[in-house]
Amino acid sequence: MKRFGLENYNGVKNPMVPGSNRLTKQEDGKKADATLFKQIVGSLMYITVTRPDLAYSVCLISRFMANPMESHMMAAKRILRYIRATTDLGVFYRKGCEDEMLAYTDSDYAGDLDDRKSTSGYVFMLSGGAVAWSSKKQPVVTLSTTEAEFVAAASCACQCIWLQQILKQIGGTERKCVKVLYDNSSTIKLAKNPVLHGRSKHIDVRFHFLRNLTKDEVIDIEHCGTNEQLADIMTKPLRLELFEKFRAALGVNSAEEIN
Amino acid sequence: MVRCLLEEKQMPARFWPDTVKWTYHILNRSPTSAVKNKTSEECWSGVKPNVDYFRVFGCIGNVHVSNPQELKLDARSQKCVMLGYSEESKGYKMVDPITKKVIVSKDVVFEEEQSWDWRRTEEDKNDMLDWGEIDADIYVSSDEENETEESLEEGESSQSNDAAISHGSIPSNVAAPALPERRVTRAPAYLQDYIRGENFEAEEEVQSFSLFMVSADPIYYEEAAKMKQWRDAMDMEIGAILKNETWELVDAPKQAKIIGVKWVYKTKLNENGEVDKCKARLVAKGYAQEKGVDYNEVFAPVARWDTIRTVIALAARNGWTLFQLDVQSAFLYGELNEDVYIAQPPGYEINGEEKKVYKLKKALYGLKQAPRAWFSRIEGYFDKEGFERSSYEHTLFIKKEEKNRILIVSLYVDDLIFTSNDSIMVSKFKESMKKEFEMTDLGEMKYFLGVEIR
Repeated sequence: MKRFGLENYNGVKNPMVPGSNRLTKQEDGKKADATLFKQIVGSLMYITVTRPDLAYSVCLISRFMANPMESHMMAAKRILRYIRATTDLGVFYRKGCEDEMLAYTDSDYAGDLDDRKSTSGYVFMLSGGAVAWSSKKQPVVTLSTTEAEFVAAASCACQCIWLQQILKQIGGTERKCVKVLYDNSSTIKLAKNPVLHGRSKHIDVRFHFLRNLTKDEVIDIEHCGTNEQLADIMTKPLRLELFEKFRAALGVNSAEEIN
Repeated sequence: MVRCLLEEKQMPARFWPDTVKWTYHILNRSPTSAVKNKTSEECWSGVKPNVDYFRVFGCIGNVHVSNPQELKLDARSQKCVMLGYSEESKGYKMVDPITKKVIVSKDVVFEEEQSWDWRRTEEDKNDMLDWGEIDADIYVSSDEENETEESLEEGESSQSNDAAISHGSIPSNVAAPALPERRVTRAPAYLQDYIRGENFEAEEEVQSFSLFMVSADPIYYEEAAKMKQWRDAMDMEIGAILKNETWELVDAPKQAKIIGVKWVYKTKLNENGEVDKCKARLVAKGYAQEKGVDYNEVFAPVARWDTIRTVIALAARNGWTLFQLDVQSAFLYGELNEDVYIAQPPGYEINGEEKKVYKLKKALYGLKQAPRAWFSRIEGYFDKEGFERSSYEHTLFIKKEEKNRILIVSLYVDDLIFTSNDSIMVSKFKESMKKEFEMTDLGEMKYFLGVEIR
């Protein structure tokens, strides 16, 4: 904080204002100091190791590293101010929690205004806290929300297989399929029913990959309401109440709350 | 004159070096009292200098920039500030005040009356960074420059007046005022109470250095060798290397490349910010190594954060305790497959055998293959101890014994975290690790890779 001259700034309660993710590469206004911007993003990247609530906002601003403008710098400063207000937060894993591993996945459709690629996000929950998370711009352009959701689901499934193997080895017990929760019912239907629709014939590889996994019962896809969709925090800026609710659900608590 | 130039266009003082250069550029091409009816430049080169290209210092210039990706209607010029004339090539030296990039270009359209609003740009920066101190420093030095400039300028202007009066006739009896060889500098009154830097001896300087610059670590061996704490630290490092049988002294082979070594110094602070210990580390200049010649494989896996968090979550769920171990001088344990020769470390050359070099048997910090050598070393150890390496995460080792007892180790270069459901296994593992490597037992896990765990 001190390094960026912000030690006297007021803290804020959320890292981004809802609806403020409309940043593009071609912003008007003055250029910002690129070196400083890169330093800030680098430091923020390190913080995301223990703070799943920051993943999306850091992911967003890091897209503008090449040519930062004043507006991007303002977004970065806002994240710093959020951290200032919430320095004592951390992921908390509860003792004796007997829940199975749960995965949430979500995407926003065409969230990047420059190339219209979507963002996919996933969260894995274990022992009452998040163990693995990601917020990432998708490598391909998708044509529909279902397709974007599908790409997100596929990358989540990859991580899922890997985590499952690790758990199998260190947990000792054989685990059944991991429950993966989506909020998009058409994606679920597509993954479960082996029918080829006219509108999804182009979603080739990922489509079959996910379908295979469901058939082999490695993962179990289920529906959940938008209000329980934890992975939302990885793909879009949320309203404050929702943000705080999801943050708590991810196991991100302050030290005082725990004691 | 420098001050006037800066003042005229309201420029920040940090541009003083360019200003000084430009001032001399002008002065050398102006009439002077030292030579009659000539400028210094003409006297030197025999060519009458051309001053057509002179522009107002610090004025705004639109530099033509060519960018292959630019579109038809994109701006072709960039607003910059003139900082004089380039010494290397024909062209003006222009600086972009926002990106701080310097451009040398001939294609400039000047707006000599305009000046950049530096105050606004600087204020924006002050928002983020504290420039104040640096600026103040530069200001002092530019003041000194100014004094010299002024005296020169005065001499020059009086001379040009003389010349104007005696125009056309050869002044025979007007002796040119001899310029003093060097101006006698007198310390300002406010400094008289202090002993000034130039009177210090080298040894004293080092001492005063160590007095108020505890946190500044020496960079060169010559610096460090003057201070006892660094000499001790280096002795310790050499001792560790010798104990480890890292190298043997051989004659330098003809074809082999000899890699240089250097010392790196670091003061370690404890949590109260006090000096904990001074650490000296001998490192090889790995950047001189060539792939395929000096080393083959460099890849060494590190643990993924996902894995570490999963292990922590699992330990929390089952109520297991997490422990942490730290291997001292980890890379020195790695065994090398390739032949690597290094020079003798500065300060520790063996008398009479200065020509010889060391052939490395084990890895040294700085070598390209050091992390890999260390990883294969500890991997071999885990293998011997009956651990099973996870095929999905190469830095995760699991040991299972009867009655469902299990020990999980996650490796992050030289930091280990491990957890188990059996305390006997933990203490056995610790014992055997300590026998094999020099370890620091950090007990229960508190801090791992800068992440606090409670």
